[in-house]
Amino acid sequence: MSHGGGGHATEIYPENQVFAVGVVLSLIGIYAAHFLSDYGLSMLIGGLLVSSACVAGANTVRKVAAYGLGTGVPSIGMISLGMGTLAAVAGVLIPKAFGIPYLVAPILTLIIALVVGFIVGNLTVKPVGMKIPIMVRSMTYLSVAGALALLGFTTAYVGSLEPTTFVKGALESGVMALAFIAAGMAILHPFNACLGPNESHKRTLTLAIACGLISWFVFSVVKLDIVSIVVSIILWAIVYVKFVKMSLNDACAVLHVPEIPKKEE
Amino acid sequence: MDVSLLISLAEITIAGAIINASVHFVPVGGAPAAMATSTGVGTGTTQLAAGAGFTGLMAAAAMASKVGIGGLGFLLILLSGAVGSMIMLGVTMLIGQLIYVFGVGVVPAADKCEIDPITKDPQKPYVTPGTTGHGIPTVCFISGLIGAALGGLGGALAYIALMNLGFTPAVAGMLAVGFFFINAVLASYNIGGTIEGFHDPKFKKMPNGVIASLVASLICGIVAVAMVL
Amino acid sequence: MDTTLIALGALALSGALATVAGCAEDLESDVGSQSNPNSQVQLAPQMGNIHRYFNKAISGEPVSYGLYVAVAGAVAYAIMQMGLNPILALILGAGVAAFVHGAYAISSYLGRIVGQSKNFGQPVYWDIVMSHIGPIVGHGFIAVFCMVLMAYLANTILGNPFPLPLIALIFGITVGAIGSSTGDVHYGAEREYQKYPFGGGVPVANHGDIDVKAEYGLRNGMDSSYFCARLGGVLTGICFGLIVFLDGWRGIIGDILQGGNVISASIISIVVGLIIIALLAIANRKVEVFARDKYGPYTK
Repeated sequence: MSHGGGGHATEIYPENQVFAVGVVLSLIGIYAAHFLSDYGLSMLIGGLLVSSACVAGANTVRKVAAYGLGTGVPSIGMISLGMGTLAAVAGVLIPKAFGIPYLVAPILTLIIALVVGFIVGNLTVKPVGMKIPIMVRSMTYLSVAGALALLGFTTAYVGSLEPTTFVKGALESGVMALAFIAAGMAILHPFNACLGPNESHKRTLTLAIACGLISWFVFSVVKLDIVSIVVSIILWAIVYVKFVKMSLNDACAVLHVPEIPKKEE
Repeated sequence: MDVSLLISLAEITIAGAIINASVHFVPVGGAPAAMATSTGVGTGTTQLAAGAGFTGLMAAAAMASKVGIGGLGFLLILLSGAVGSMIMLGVTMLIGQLIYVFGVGVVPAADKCEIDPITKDPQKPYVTPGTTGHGIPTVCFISGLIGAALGGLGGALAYIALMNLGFTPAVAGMLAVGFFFINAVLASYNIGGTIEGFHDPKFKKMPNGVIASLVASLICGIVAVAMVL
Repeated sequence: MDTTLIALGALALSGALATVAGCAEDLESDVGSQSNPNSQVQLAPQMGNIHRYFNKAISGEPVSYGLYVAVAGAVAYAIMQMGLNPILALILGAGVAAFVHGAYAISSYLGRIVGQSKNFGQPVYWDIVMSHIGPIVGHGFIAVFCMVLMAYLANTILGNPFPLPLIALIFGITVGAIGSSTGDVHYGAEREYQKYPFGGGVPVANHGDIDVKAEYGLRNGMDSSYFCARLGGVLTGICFGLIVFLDGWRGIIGDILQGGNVISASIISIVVGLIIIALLAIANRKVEVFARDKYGPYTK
């Protein structure tokens, strides 16, 4: 468990921009996963695009956790994924109940996630009493990011938004449980791992992209899609090595022997 | 609208409130407890509540698949969830107590009360100076058992409500997991880090959390009901 | 009777697996210094203590172990759908989970150390990364494999209606919560602060003043792990094993005593559970009284 870092580090990209890009890319990814499944490309294209939802979520966590969440960063990841689960399953099943075409599922998930996130965000301010200024907006963004990541990865796995196929493929098999925790970790890990007084937006974002890509890799393995496995692991390796190199560059010293550096008096 | 749908909605709402209340009973010392600097179990509120609640959920699901969810089965599932959760938290607290007493060498002592309300033992002389208590005194243990029972009960109730709405066990289980986390985190935010149990002054904040969970669970329940109309 | 015997055997195996999993999980979190005691490792450079611990901050243990076991469960499920042998599938699943574990571990060390490197002068020890990642991933593999095998047994033999990845997720969260509550205390309160006398909590004023020297040379994560294996790891294993066994055993006792009638079997299992809980409370009280009498109060 950890507490938020000291103060807010400067941003390279504004939070709204990253969030908007993440939402748009993942929506495209979900529809691509549905329509391209006949060509076997639903995990390849869909999975790649949906990773952006994880990046958007991680970026929002960075912004809100810098205020000092008090109970740690994992909780906010879990609540956003909890809301996301509800929104994702509802988005797929509600069209059937009301007789609307099922292709509106991603949009419906987005709307439900927005509403639930907004309400729960308000509940954390009053009556629960969290004193973070941007709490409501952050909860809403996180709820949407979680919902889209969850729906995205499961749709990329199943290859269809049709309710019966989706329930059988994602929920009866239990793959949604994996999506819940993989997306959750991809959202909360980057800032949690990089926090500290020398945190930099660039490194955190690079790690966020790497976490999104490794979630895509895991889903490719679960789907047993060889092309997707190879592409995702190569892309992940490129981004991850970049993160390692950046970190080693930004450190005050990189040592290879058991020696505590002498302090200059 | 069908009465059974309304009953399920009510069950989900109440389940959320119970889950929220349960988190307030579990004695959690947070990060300091892992260094024997505060009383209670050394982990986060959400995580321990989730661990206990999910054990209860599994016990409830196993029981539900054996006896069905009607009539007496309803009561048995709730009790099974509560007992499963209590065993998990009870064993965890006991083993934690063993490590505190024999591994670290501290006397279990609470900081938020002068005398243990249950055993009437004085606490202050046994608290290491500079810390806010350590270990799991009896009042914290009993409080934890109550919290675990409520958590298991709430999880089981949510599961039954979702099954009554017509979902299969797998779907109901997944939704129950997400639902549990929403309420547990709301409670965790309400507590704000650490709590020693029902004797802790912070316990008086519980109504705030319960109200928040009632509203959140009602919304979740409406969404769930909308899925099966 | 036959199915009950098989169920009892599966339950005993699950209990044993849980014991191994709990112990391995705790030792892994000691090598890599995860969860709550890690806050001290995080604080140390600020207090002027440059250290050689592996600062592994992958959120809390429940969430991270939930991830690894869920990954293992889902991959195993997918491979079993292909028709391969279940044990092979579980091993491959645990292997993928170990890979994910390693990736998250290294990224968290680099992230946290570099996040405070320039301000407090804490260097990145690349040899720590390379030497510790093996034990971390190895212990993690043992823990994850045992748990995903338990999940498989629960899914196929012990009659749990949830699908394999969901059971795996729940077991992962449970073992993380248990390991974080029990074994980590031995690491955080005792091993990290060994230079302070035995028999007391760590006052807030001393937070961050962790040991940086070992019995010989400089302290690192592996020194913590071998020490905690003596008590913390073992007790964590017993804790998880007891939980899994007691919870399943009370159900089977009910089946054995009242096999035909499901309702009475369930009532018996609940009553047995309540008796167990009462015994736990009594045991806790006995330990508390022992400590109060033998250790005594603080005297000025």
